[in-house]
Formats: sequence, structure tokens, C-alpha cells
Amino acid sequence: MNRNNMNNPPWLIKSLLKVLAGRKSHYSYIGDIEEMYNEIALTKGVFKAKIWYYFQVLKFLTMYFYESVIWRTAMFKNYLKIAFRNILRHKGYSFINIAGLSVGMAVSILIFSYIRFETSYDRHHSKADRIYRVTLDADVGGRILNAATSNAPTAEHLVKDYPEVSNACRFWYNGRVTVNYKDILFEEESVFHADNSVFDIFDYEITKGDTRNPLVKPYTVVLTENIADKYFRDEDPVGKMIVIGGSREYLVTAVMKDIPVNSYNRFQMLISLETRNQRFPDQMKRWVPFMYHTYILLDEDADFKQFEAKLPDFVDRYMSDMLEAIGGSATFGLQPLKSIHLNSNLEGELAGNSDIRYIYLLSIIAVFIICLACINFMNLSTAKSSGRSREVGIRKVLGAEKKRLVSQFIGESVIYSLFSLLSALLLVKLAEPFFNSISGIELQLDYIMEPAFILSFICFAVFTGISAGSYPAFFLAAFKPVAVLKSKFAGGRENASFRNFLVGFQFVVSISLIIGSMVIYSQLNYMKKRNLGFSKEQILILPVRNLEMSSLESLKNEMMSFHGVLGAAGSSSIPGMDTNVDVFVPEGYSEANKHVMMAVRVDHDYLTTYGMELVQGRNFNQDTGTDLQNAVIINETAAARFGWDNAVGKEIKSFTNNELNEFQVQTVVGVVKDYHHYSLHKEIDPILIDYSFTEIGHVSFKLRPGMETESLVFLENKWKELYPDRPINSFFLDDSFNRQYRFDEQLGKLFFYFTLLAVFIACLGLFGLSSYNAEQRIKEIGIRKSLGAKVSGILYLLNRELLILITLANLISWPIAFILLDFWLSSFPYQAGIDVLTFLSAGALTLIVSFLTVSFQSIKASLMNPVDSLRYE
Amino acid sequence: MEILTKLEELILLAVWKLKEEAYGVSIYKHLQKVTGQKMSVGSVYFPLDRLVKKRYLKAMKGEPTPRRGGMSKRYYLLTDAGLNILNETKKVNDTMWDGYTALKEKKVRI
Repeated sequence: MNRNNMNNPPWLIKSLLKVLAGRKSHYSYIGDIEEMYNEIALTKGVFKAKIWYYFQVLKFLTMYFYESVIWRTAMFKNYLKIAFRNILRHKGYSFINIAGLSVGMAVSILIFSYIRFETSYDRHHSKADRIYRVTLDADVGGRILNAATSNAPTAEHLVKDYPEVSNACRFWYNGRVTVNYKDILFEEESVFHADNSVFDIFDYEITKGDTRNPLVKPYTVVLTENIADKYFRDEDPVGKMIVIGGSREYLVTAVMKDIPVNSYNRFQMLISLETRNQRFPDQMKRWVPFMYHTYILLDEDADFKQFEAKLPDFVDRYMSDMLEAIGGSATFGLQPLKSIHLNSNLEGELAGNSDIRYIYLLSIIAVFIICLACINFMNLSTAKSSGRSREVGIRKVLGAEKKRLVSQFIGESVIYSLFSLLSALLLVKLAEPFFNSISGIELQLDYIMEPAFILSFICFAVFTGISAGSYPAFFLAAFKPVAVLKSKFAGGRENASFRNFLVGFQFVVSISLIIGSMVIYSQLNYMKKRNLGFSKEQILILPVRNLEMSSLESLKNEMMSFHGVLGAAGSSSIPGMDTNVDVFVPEGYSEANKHVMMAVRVDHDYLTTYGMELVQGRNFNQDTGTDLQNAVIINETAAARFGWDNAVGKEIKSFTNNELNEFQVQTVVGVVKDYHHYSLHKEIDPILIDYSFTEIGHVSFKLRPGMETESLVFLENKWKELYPDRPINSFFLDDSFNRQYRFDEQLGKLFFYFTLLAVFIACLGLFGLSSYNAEQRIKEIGIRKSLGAKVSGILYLLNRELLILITLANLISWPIAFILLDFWLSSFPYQAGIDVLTFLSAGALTLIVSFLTVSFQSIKASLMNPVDSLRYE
Repeated sequence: MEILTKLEELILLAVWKLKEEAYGVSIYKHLQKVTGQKMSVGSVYFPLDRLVKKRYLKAMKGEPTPRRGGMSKRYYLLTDAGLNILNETKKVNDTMWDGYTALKEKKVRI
């Protein structure tokens, strides 16, 4: 047996002892204990020695705490008592302090929770660090395309060609489909085709059925629990057949857990991609189109930057022919899975992603709001310092060190902030539903009760307390005992300039936030109200599927028979909806110089129903037999892009298949005035409007203003009569179009409410300070009044400083706000601009609000009878 | 003079008895032998520290040994002030105990 081993006491405990001993000189004690340990180990055995050792340490600990704590707590108790007395004596100030701090903390905790949620996207996958999405950067005919999608064979070839790619999978968005089980019929939004390897790459948990290879065979489907419950209720879904897309039967092979809300791709069911392999074997081998969300799993030791550098080679190897045929260039990039939600805004994204800039913005707001609350605390405590100067003097005379006093006052502010933390947590709980409704996310606040977070919130409160309390603490602790005890020491006046500086800072922040809210609101309003080039009001959209030209016409006629329906038109896409791009060669360009353009297929009523204007040429004509064959309309941007002054009569070759070897020649019959197909976040792109009934997916009805409800009821009834087996999912265009601004709206609302809270906190502090000032100068006012001063004069006297402060704060915050907002606006192609009036009104608003805040106190002070205030002199 | 606590008194006496060999373990063992009480090693250190602080004892660093896990011993020596206080304590004790005969006294009933 190794003697040395036997002689070593438990090392963990020993190092604990070392920590407790603190000073090096105390190490000899540890040596003593170890000596005894060895003795016992030799005589009675190691086990007993160990037990003895533990026991000694336990005793040592209790002694340590007794000796060190008992003496410290004696003073501590006194501090605590004084702190509580102070809180209770100055109820008003305490309320202002605690209210301000708790609102500030509640805002910070809410913002923290929001950020925690937003940054948690897709982190629950155990291999999330190694999962990357393959993205496309392409340039075709001058149109830059940054897309989230890649082509079908890429996944397979990447795995084959590169050893560092250990796995890959693809998702293909199926679009809206109908699903039947027995007599139940539903329309589902989020249905994807996927490779079986998704279950190896992502941590999707299969709860029932085939856990290994549920998506290997064609015509198999995996349901999420939510969908499975909806269709099957108590039955076991595994092994059942469901009908998807109206005709084909699919076998349910497995049921998986619902996708967590903080996931980028929240699909409801997965169909095997093998199904598409079997149905369209040729298509799946082609390098166009780019319609697949491809994810790859890299090896643990692979570097994604290095691997990304190999991708241009890959594109050259497989896609050069295809790219040459199109006449464009392209390359692939990689995107870490975890950064998709916050850092990606590409074409073909599945979900409206968030933006990392919002996260930064909100964090800055949180910091500012906490600062405002801390400033309140600093100002009020230094202002009140004259009240505590005696206490400080006495304590110093009795031998208190400066260090002790500082820690006493910091301790007091920590007590305040701990109280505030409690009420802040309550506020957060109360504000949660409200916050959820404006931010549009489901905040998960359960985490707050986890010990780690309770601890970190307490740390946060302590930190806030220390930062709010440190200035007043040093200020108070620096009082000279002789000075404060001998004379009447008015400690409040001397540091007024610093206090004014802090109040000024509060105003700068508040004014900037107010201007920010106003500009955000006006930009949002501008985007929603701007003339889009068509009218989006009173347009009801009815998604349809597989409608023949004749049945579309009869549907339109049936609906038009109701006097509330003014117009109807069918189209492949509607404004605000993702629209396919096609490849064209306009007249005057060579075959090698192809153009990519958005293409919408519409019927002859589309332009009139939407109220789009033609600047050249004519609309499609139903009666000329040739229009349906070869007439197209382009928008002004397209005409300008092709360099056509007079576009009517020009020819465009449009390619009809992915190989780019078949095309048809079409003639431009008209040019439509530019309209915004997408939101005002995007500039207007070239659009080609094709007269065709092949891909009609939506029917738009223009309703008579004021008759929306009746028309809606009529339409729904009629639809049920005509197609009893198809569910109806109508919606209004302005709603769906404005959904593109959902994110801006949320930001605007959040910003507005946080501004409100910031102003509230600042006002709270101002109120406290003004009442203190009025109280301090009560005698001065009394004397002035008895000498004949008017009320207005007194009011001016009391508010003069405030006026100067607000003016200065305005002058400082205007340029700051202008620079920041100009930067923010520059990300929008269509800007509302910043109005000078915004600045002036923000300034006026602060002035009014702050005067209202202080007027209560100052009016009270100036109206006071001088007899009352001077009676005791 | 200062009145020492019992433990302080005992420890001072132990240091005096142990002469050059007075360090943590030996003092502890001595006390345990004399009083017959089980006590923790730690319980002697705080009085020892206090006594050093009051300058009744002087602490000196000894040589480290492997048996002690490489930590050096801390020897204690009685100072003149320590001797003084012991003398005075003894005087007080003698006066206080004077005339007391063990177990013979009647219980005082009130």
C-alpha cells in the first residue's frame, strides 16, 4: 500500500480549509489537523481518521462563523434598523425610489426574457453547433438573389464528395394542402417533404411508431402530436392511412413531439422526400430549381469557414453548364443553424425572422431605463443627505471608519433594490400577458423560478443597488464630523450641479426615446398608408386549388351576382405573397444574357380589380383569341431595366421548363404603373404579368365599402354550396399584406411602451426632487412673499432651473436622436423622413410633462401663507 | 488587570508547561489530557489568536514536515506580559478559592 496515499486527508476539504484560513500564516493550523489525522490513521485506521477529519472541519466551520459573524452582525443589526427606519420615515421618497427601481427592473427582466427567448432558437438540438444551412448567392441578369434555398442534388453530393460532411438533409415546403382522414377534412399550412436523415441531424423526438427510419419509403408521413391528436384523438395513428392533397394515400409511420415554439422550422407534418423521388425522378436530379432547404452536419473537428471556402469549387463542378445556360453566376454559402433566426433575412425564408439589431436596441433601452431609475435614487439620496448628516457626524465621532459608512449606505441602497426586485418580479408576472400580446411571442417565464436565475436576479439587484448607492454613499461618508455637528449643514445645495447633470441626462434619454417613438410611428404609418399602386382595401382573397378556367369563370360570375361584390379576378399570386421567379430573354438581348423576373399569372380582370393603372398599351382582352397565348404586361421598372422607352409590341422569350430549352415568345401589350408587390421594405422589382389560367391559386374579390360582412357571408355560403368538400380559408388582403409589417409594428409598440415607462420613471424622480426643493426653500419663499413677491415670480424662481435644463437637454438630444434615427431609416428604401416638427413637439411634450410634474409642488409652495412657513423662526 | 476566559487561562498554562514544544497539536493534546474533555482542534485556535493579539503569546514559524502535509508548525512562546497575567490570574484564583474545601460545604438553601 502506498503510504503517501494513506496519509492524505480528503483534498477537497483541505482546500476548503485553506480558503477559510485566508491568511498564509494560518496554514500551520491545517498542518496541525493533518498531523492529528495521520496519527489517528495509523492507530485507528484511515476510515476513522477521515470521519474525525470531517468532524473537525465541521466544528472549525461553526467556530469560524460564530467568531467572525457574531461581531459583525452587532453593527449590521444597527445598520439594518436605521435603514428600515429611514424607509418608513420617508414613505414618499421610499415609494418613489422603489417604484422607479422596480419598474426599471421589471422592464429589464422582461427585455432579458425576450432576448433569452429570441436567442434560444434551435439551440435545443444537441448537434446545433455543427448544423449549417446551405444558402445561395446568385446573380442572374443583374438580379442579385440571396436565397435560403438550394437545389435537390446538393445534399447528396456534398456528403459524397466531402468527408467532413457527415450527414445532410433537405426540407421541401409543400405549401398549403388538404388532408383527409375518414370524413375529417383539414387544410394544413406547414407541411414539408423531408429526408429521413432529419431525424439523425435534428433532435426530433419520435414518441410512437418507427423511431429509426420513418421516412425511408415513399408515401409515408410523420405527424406531430398536435396534428395526430386532431385527426385521431384516441386512436393509435401509427399504421393508419391518410389522404394528402386530395387523392394520394399516405401511411402514418410515426408520431413525433411538437416542435418547440423557439424553432425556425415549425412544421406540422413531414412527408418522405422519397415520395417526390418516385413521382418526379428526373426533377430530383436537376440542379435547378433552388427550392430545397438543405442542412448539413459537419464533423466535430471540421471548420465551417474552411469548408465554406470549398463550396465555389463544388458549384463549378456540378452547376457550370446550368449557370452558363442561364447566363448567371452563383455560389453557395453556409449559415449556422443557431444564427438563422436572428441573422438571416434571405429570400425563401420559412418564417418571419427576427433581427439581431432589435436585440441590441432593446438591450440598450433596458440599460437606459435602469440608469434612469438609478439616477432617481442617487438624486434623492444626495438631496436628502442633509437629513443624514447628523447621523454621519455622530457615527464618525464614535469611531466609524469611512469604509464602514460607505458600506452602510451602499447596504441601504441594496435593501431598496432587493425590495424593488420583489415588486419587479410581481410586475413582470402581471405584465406578461400584455407584453406577449404586443411582442407577439409567447414569453416563457418559468425559468425565473430556477435557482440559478433567482440567484442571478439577486446579483442583478445587488449590482443595481451598488451602482445606485455608491455615489450617495461616498458623498455622505465624506462629511466632516466637526462641520456637520457644529453648524447647520445644508448638504443638499452643494452638489446641486451634479444633480442637475443627472436630471439633464434623464431628460436627454427621455427626449431621445420620445423622438424615436414618434419617428418609428411615422415611418410605420407611412409604410401602411402609402399608395402602393393598387388598392388593398376591401379585397377578399379566396385561396383555391385546381380550378379550371371554366369553373373559375363560373365562380366569379356566381359571386358577382351579389351586389356587394364589385369585381373578381384570379391570379397565381397576390401582392405580399412570395412569388416565383422565371427566366426570360427580352427583345434585343442575346440568348446568353438571360433575365430573372417575378412572374404573376393572372386573368383579364386582375388589373381592374386591383385598380392598377396602365401607363402604356392596354389590358388583356378576353375576346381576342391570341392574348391568352402570347400577351404579357410588364411594370415600369422592368421596362426601364430592359431600356425600353416604348415597350408595347416588344417581344419576350419566356422559358417554360427548367432545362431552359423550351420557350415561348410573348408580346408586351401594356406597361403597368409600378406597384409594390412586396412591402415597402423592398424596392420595386421587375414584374411580368402573364395572361394565363394555368396556375390560378387565388381569387380576389373587390367588395363594396360598407358591405364587407354581408359579402363575406354570401361568399362563404356560396362556396359551401359549390364545393362542399373543400374548406374555405378566406382572408382580407390588407391584413395579409400588413402582416409584412408585423415586426415593425411590434418594435414600434414595444418602443412606445418603454418610452412611456422611461418618461414615467424620470417624472417620478423629478417629482421627488421638486418636492424636496420646495420643502428646502419654504422659508426663502415665505420671506420673499412677505416682502411682496408674486405667485408667478415664485413659480418662475422654482422652475427656472428646470426650464434651462430641459432646453439644454433638448439641444443635446436632438442631434443624437437625428443621427441614430437617420441610420435606422436608411435601412428602408422608402422613408417617411424626419420632420423638424417631431423634434419640436418632443421638446414641448417633455416641457409640458415635466412642468405638470413639478407644478403640484411648486404651486403648493408658492401659494402657501408666509405666516405658516415663518412661524417658528 | 484583564480577566482571562477559562480556556485562555488553560491555554496559557499549557504553553507555559510545554515550553519549546508548544504548538497547536501538543497544546490540544495536553488540554484534552488534563480536562478529559473531547474538544475540536479548531477550538484552541481562536483563543490562541486572541492571546497573540493581546501580546501574551508570541507565535513563531517552525519547520514543515511531510507528516503535516508540508505545512510548517506554529510554535507559541509565553511573553513577559503573558507571564504577568498568569501570575495575576493565579493570585486572583488563589484568593477566590481560598478556604474552599472540596465537597464538604453545605448546600445553601434559600
